[in-house]
Amino acid sequence: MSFLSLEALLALLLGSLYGAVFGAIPGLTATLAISLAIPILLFLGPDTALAALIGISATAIFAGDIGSVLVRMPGTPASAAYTEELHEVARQRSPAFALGISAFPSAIGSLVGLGFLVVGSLGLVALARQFSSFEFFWLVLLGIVSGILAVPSVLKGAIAFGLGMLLATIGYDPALGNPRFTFGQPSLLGGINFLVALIAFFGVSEVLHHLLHRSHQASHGAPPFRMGRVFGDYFLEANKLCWKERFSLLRASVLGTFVGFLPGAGSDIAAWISSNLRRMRRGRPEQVALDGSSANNAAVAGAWIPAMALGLPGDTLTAILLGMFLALGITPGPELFNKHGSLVVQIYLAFFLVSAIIMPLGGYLSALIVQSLLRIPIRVLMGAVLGLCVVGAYAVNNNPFDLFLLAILGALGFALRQGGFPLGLVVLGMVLGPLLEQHFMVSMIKTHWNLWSFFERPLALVLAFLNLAMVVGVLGLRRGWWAALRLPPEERA
Amino acid sequence: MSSQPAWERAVALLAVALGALALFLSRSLPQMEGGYPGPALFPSLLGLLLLLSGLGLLWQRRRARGRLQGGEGRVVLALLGLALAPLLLEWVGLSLTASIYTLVGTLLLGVRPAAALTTGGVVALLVYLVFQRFLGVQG
Repeated sequence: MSFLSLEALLALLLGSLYGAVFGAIPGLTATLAISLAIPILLFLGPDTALAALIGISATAIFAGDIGSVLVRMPGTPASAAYTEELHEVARQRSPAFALGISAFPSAIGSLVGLGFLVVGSLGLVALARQFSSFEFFWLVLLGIVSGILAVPSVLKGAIAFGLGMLLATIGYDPALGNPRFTFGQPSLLGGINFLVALIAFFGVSEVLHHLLHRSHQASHGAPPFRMGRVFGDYFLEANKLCWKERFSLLRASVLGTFVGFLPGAGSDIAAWISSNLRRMRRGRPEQVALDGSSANNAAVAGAWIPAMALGLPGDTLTAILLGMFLALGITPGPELFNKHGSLVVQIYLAFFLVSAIIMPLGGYLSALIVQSLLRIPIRVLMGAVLGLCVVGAYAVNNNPFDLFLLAILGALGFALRQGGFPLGLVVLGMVLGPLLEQHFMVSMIKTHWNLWSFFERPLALVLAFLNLAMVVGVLGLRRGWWAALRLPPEERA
Repeated sequence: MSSQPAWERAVALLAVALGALALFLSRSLPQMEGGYPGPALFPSLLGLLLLLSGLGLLWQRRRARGRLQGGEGRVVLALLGLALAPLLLEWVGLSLTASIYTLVGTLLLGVRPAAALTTGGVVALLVYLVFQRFLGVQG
């Protein structure tokens, strides 16, 4: 079966619609959408599952704008950067026009990002073919260091990463095959299932968060609204504006791709930078929204470049996707391009279909569905999410023991979330931890524990220097910001 | 007063405890030939990282004040309920288990009983059709 099969195209379409609906409803996130979909996707085979995953991840960020247009509430953090402007456009011109200036720039940003994804991933793979375990060790360490340094509190980042990596040490160790921390429980020999952890961290902790802050809001308060002159506003007027702002859109898309490519950054940072740059140039609301929406969607494709080429997740979403790749028996990185070349082409194709066709045409359809769903109180949706989390965690392995893990990891995720710890880093730690250990142990075993061997190959030396430069540079930058902000020491953590 | 500092301290304490536990348990893991560190190396380093980061955070937040918000009882109740899921699954099957958790979840979230029952019914039907009939999940 290929991505051009009926099943895969249907999965792509349904995945996109599902991602769009989740992305659009405030409180339901892209990560939650994928966490709940995984137990179903596991049964569908790699081609169909990956098609659906690409559909979900590519449209969920764009769909965050639908919540902004309809109820002035961003569906995802990536849309928060220009919610005010987009909602103002919806009120002053029409919701259809506002959705148009969100959908088409999103599609353009995603297509530009796809261009960079094709060129960038192929280039990086060519480079990665020269890598041995030494270079991969430094590369994984770079992902970890940049992830910790990217969050406001280094200590919180270190704890989140440390917990994720410690969770990943449970079970057989990746280098020698010794069981660790299993406490005699056979279900733990294979380690904590990444997908169960994902459902617990993003599904259960979300429900528990709503239980703690039980809102008395009956609904999202969506006002009844008529879409009005849909064709004229959504297609013609929005496209006219996009053509007029074509160079600015291109600039924002390139910027978004670059930010998405950086480890630890992501769609929301891309959107904030891009829309703030436009505000600084006294841009009109529609121009700010255009730049923000193209940048955050370009960042989605940008984050896929290191994920596909090197097996290094740039953000939470790609960490989840990489976990899913592994669960489907596919190892991302150079091996993906060597052994599954046709799959790589199909991933590019699926990205193209979502960006060029589904995003612009599905935008309007998604908005209609979301408008109906927004009338359902979030409390009802969260209750259903709890039930589906239980089913999802059990369905992954048909193992009741996973439900105990769901409760324990759900409690951990909830506590981390309440304390303002970055949950995404726990997931990144679970993905990167075993890779770091594996490359370190392999390097050490083949050189009889000669630590200098990490600095003997030129590429390894360059990557080691990059790690050092990253630590010195970011810490220096942060010190400068703190001084500029004149924050008290307690706030600088 | 925000509850975040209280949770920060709780997680920092947890990090210290888990770090110390990892260090302690790593000592019983085997070494490699020639006395080189083996499977114990990585968990020991992580234990140390967690221990030091946790202590660092506790020190940084020593003056921060915060208190719990009062909804924690509902959270504990939900977590205890989740721990019973394996038993419930054995007794009533998958779709009814999902329905019960949806019902309890919506009720705890303050939804009216009639709406909670309807939601539970919809979820049970969805789980039966999608997971049990279409995907063949046992339970």
